[in-house]
Formats: sequence, structure tokens, C-alpha cells
Amino acid sequence: MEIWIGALQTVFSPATLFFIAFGVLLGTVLGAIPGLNSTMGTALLIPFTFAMAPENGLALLAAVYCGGTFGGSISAILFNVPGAPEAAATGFDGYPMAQKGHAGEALGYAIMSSVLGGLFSVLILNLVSPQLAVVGLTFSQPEYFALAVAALTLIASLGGAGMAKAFIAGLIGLLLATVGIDELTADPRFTFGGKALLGGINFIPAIIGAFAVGEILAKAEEGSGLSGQHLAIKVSTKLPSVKELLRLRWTMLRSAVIGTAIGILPGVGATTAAFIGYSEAVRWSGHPEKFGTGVPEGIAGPETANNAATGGAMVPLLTLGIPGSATTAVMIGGFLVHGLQPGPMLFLNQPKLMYAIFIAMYVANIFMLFAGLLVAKVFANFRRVRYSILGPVIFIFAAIGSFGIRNDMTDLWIMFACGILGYFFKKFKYPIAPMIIGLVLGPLTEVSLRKGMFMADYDLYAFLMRPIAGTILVIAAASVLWNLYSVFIRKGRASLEEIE
Amino acid sequence: MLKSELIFSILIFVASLFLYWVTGSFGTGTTLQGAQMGPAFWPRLLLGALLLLSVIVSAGTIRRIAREKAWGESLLTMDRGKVRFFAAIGLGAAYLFLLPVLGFIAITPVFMIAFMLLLGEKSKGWILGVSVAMTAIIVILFTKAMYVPLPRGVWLFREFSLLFY
Repeated sequence: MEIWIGALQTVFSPATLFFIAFGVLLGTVLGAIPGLNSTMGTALLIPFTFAMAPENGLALLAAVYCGGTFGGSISAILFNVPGAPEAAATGFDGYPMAQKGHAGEALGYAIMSSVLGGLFSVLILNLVSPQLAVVGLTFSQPEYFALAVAALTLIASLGGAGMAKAFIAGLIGLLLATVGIDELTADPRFTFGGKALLGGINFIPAIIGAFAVGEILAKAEEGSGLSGQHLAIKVSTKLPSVKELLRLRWTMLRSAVIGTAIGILPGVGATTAAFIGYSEAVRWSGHPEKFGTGVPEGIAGPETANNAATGGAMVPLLTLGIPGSATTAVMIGGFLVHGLQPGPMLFLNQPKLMYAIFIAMYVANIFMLFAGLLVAKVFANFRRVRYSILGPVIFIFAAIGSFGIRNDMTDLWIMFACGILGYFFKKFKYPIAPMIIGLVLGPLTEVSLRKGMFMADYDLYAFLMRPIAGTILVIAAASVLWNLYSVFIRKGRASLEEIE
Repeated sequence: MLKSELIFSILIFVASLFLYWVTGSFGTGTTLQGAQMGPAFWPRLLLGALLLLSVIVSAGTIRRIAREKAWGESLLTMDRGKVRFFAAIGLGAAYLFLLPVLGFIAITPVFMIAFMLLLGEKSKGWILGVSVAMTAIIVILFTKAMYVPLPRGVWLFREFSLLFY
């Protein structure tokens, strides 16, 4: 108890509160600008934390991490350009909702879901982190494969009646993910003898291209709406009421659990959590066909999950010294500059510091509410600019956002090619979301399948019949069958057109 | 529209077939060659499914064309929208080609002005103001505040870029 009181006193000192507020605001702004992200912000801030007390420095880094994970959703909702990969799934429903004139509500759902998801995961981190870290480490390739397959089955729900087109889009995404050096054998695949594609197709330029550039090309062709008159509605963020939040309680709770659990697993972070959160929101919804048109569940699902992953990713970092995400890997540097080695001994040697980090993350998530409102207000003003001006500005940010990842021109061409593909997808009614889901989850699916089968000596039964993996796969298979049943049999409209 | 949709699904089929053929060259020099799941296993699985699904979609589109008697629709009509669409693609491609040659700071304002004019923007003040201001903001934010490098171009353009970042 004394340790807790000491930690509370530390966090609620004016200096620490200032650093947390600054960190959340900075993280949210970095997250909202395509090309900049919280990992970059954390890395740049580490040298500055050297001069600070460890609790202030680490609270600042944790705050940037929390803010950055949320910030990307602002630009995803307002402009269909996810500021950070974690926010890509938020744009699936966030942008259509904004297009309908409800941008304020969409931002409100995103902020509230992020805050609640973040708080939930910190609570879990606080209560049972050592036990969870051990469970997380028992996950092996079959479990990763089962998780990826479960998320991919979402494609069946997203397609609605045009299921074949949705699967084509998903398969194209999975195929794009195979480009580059094979992770297991180091063989180049689909590189056509050149060096440009050896590094593979990064999903961020692909997402930015398919959504933002595709939209710009479509708008250029349409010619309508370029005057911006339809956008001249003042956007003010509207937080959801308690009644609306209660209606979303199961979506949020499910995504919070998923996000925390995914965050704990090493190697898969907030982006995967957001996609699985979205996928499960669709799966358990009473109206899956409405997803993609701007439903609150489509925002709450991924947003709760990606912020819940922040607390989840801190579990293995603090308890075992293993980072659960890119940003927490960078944060190890923050510990090391203060002569601290993250891991079980830190709980014994520096318990006050550990609890101060927990409390700082609670405070950061609450501050995120205000930072989110502030940054969203600033960014929302850009929506009132007419599209003939906004379109080229979005294109430039999309280009720099793609270039900034690896400082490679290939990523810009990937963005542009995916933009043209996204335009044709839109024109011929192929859903874009499955392609992105395939691209994000492709490497995890393929590598876990091949590694797992190799480990199981190519015995499919041994590979699939592990308790956790088997259960997840059975649920995933049942949901696909239910989807097929409800589309083709229950409605009694099985025809070739429906499949196509 | 239906005929263009049919062409698109046929293109997916043809591209899948070509890529399936390309997978034949995967993993020929690795120790895992002959293993049950080599580098070609997963892409072939995906391409096989793509071939099947593109046939289903194409068949469905042909049925719809036949039902709606749309075989006569012309693919070559050019309206103002299509001209703007192709011009936008040309402009985007030109920007990407010229970016590593001329550098970010030299090409970006020119591209933005051209794109705004293409999209029908009339206000000269907005066109000039936004293109110059956005370029300046991005250069300061990315290169000075966050140390993210932007393309500098070559030769004289590189010298020009070096004056700023």
C-alpha cells in the first residue's frame, strides 16, 4: 500500500502530469499526421528523457505511445488516410460515417473507445500481468495461424451478397503480402529479377493508396463535390451518450479483451489487434451487412482493440523484458538510459517506479480524451476546405506518408499502383477492406502455417488439434458456415449472381 | 460498365495464370526444395483460388450482360470525367517520376498547382498560397522537427534543396 501511495504522489506531481499531458498531445498529433508515428516520437524523445527523473521520462514515453495509437484514427475518419497503421481498420466505417455528415460522432466514438480500451488494458496489466505474460509465451505457430485464420474469415462477412468479389480482394491482399524475400527460405518471390520489390510490399503505402489515392482519382472523375459545398458543415466532436456506449458495451468489451490479449503476444501488435477487433465486431453483429457503411460498431471494434493493445504490449515488456510491439521495443531504450533493465527483477527492485508507470498510463488514457478532442477539432477544420484544394494536399501527405516508412521511392509507386487498383475496385464493387486485411495478416498466416507444419512434421492433425488453436479454428469455421447458410439458404436466394 | 467489369475480372484471371507460371521459378536453389511447403506452396494455393473465383465472377458478369443485352455498349467513349481521371493519373505518375530528380521542394508546389487547376479550382490566391504554404510546412515538420529525410533531387536541384534541408 505504501508503494501505491508513493507512486500516486509521484504521478500526481505537477511535473509528471505536465509530461504525461505533453506526451499524449504530441503522440496524438504524430499519430494523426501520415508518415509520422508514435514509434518515431518515442525514439526521438529518448535522449531528452535522459535528463529527467526515470518516472517522468518513462511516463512521457508511455503517454506518447497511448496518444499515438489513437491519433491515426483522426485522419482515417476525416480524410480516409490512416495516420498510423493501427487506424486503418477504423477508416472502414469511420470515413463512410464522416461522408454521411456524422464526422463529429465518428470521432467521438473513436475517442471514447480508445480511452475505454486503453483503461481496460492498463487495469489488466495492473492486476494479472505476470500470469498473462506466461500464458502469452505458450502461444506457438498453430495458435498464431488460428488467430490469423479467424480474422481472415471476416472476409466472408464483409462481402455480403458479393462474396466471391470479397474473397478475390482478400486473396489479392494475401498474394501481395508474399512479394519479396520469403521469410523461411530467403527466396525472392514475384520480384521479377529486380531489387525494388525485395523488401516486400509494406501495407501502409498500400492502405494509403487504396483508400486515399483511389478516392482522389474517383473524385477527379466524378467532378461532383469538388466545390466542397457538401463538406462545409462544421465538424464538432460529439462524444457518445451513456446510452449509446451501453449499446456498444459488448463490442467494446470483446475488443478490449482481444486487444489486450493480442498486445501481449510478441510480434503482433495494435494493427493486428484492430483488424481482429473489427473482424469480431462483424462476426457477432446482428447486421454484418451494414459494416463498411458507417456503423458505430465498426469504429468501436478496432479502436477499442488497438488502444487495448498498448497496455497488452506493456505486459511482456515490464514482466519479462520482451517487447510486444515496435514502440515498446523502442521504449526498452528509455529504460536502459536510466540504467533499468525491464523484466521480473524490476518489480522487486523498483516497485514504486513500476506502479508509477501503471498509474501514468491510467492518467494518459484519461488525458487522451481531451487531447483527442483538441486535435480532432484542429484537423476537422481541414474538412471544410473544398476538395479541389484538399485533394492535392491529401495526395502530398499520402506520398510523404508512404515515403517516410523506408525512405524508398518503391513505396510511393506501390501507393500509386494500389490507388489505381483501389479506384477500379470501387468502380466494379469489389470491397477494398478484404484486400487490406489480407495484406496485413498475410505474413502471419503463411509463416505460422509453414513453420507450424514443419514443426509438426507435416502432420495436419497434430498441427490443428491443439486446445487453443483447435477451439479458435472451430469457432472461425462455424462462423463462415453460418454466414454461408444465412446468405444462401436462410434467405432462399441462392443464385450465381449472389455468389459473384 | 458491365463490359469493363468483365474485362477487369478476365484480367485478374490472366494475371493469376501468369503469376502461377512465375511461381515455377521459386525455391529452385534452396535447401528446402522438395519440402512439402516450399516458397511456392502458399502463392500457388492463393493463385489457384483466384483463378477459380475469377471464373465464377466472369461467368456471373457474362450472364448479366446477356440478360441486360449490354453487348453493344461502347468502351471507348471519352467524357470530361474520364479525361480528368486519366490526366490525374498522368499528373501523379509525372510527380513520382520527377520527385527523385527535382527534389521535394522544387516539384511539390508545381504539382499542387497543376492538380488544383485540374480539379477546377479557380481562386489564384488559394492555389498559390496552399501550394507554397503546404510545401513549407511539410519541409519544416518532416526535416527539421522529426528528422525524416525528403527527396533532394540531383545536380542543381540537389544544391537548391540543400539550402533548405
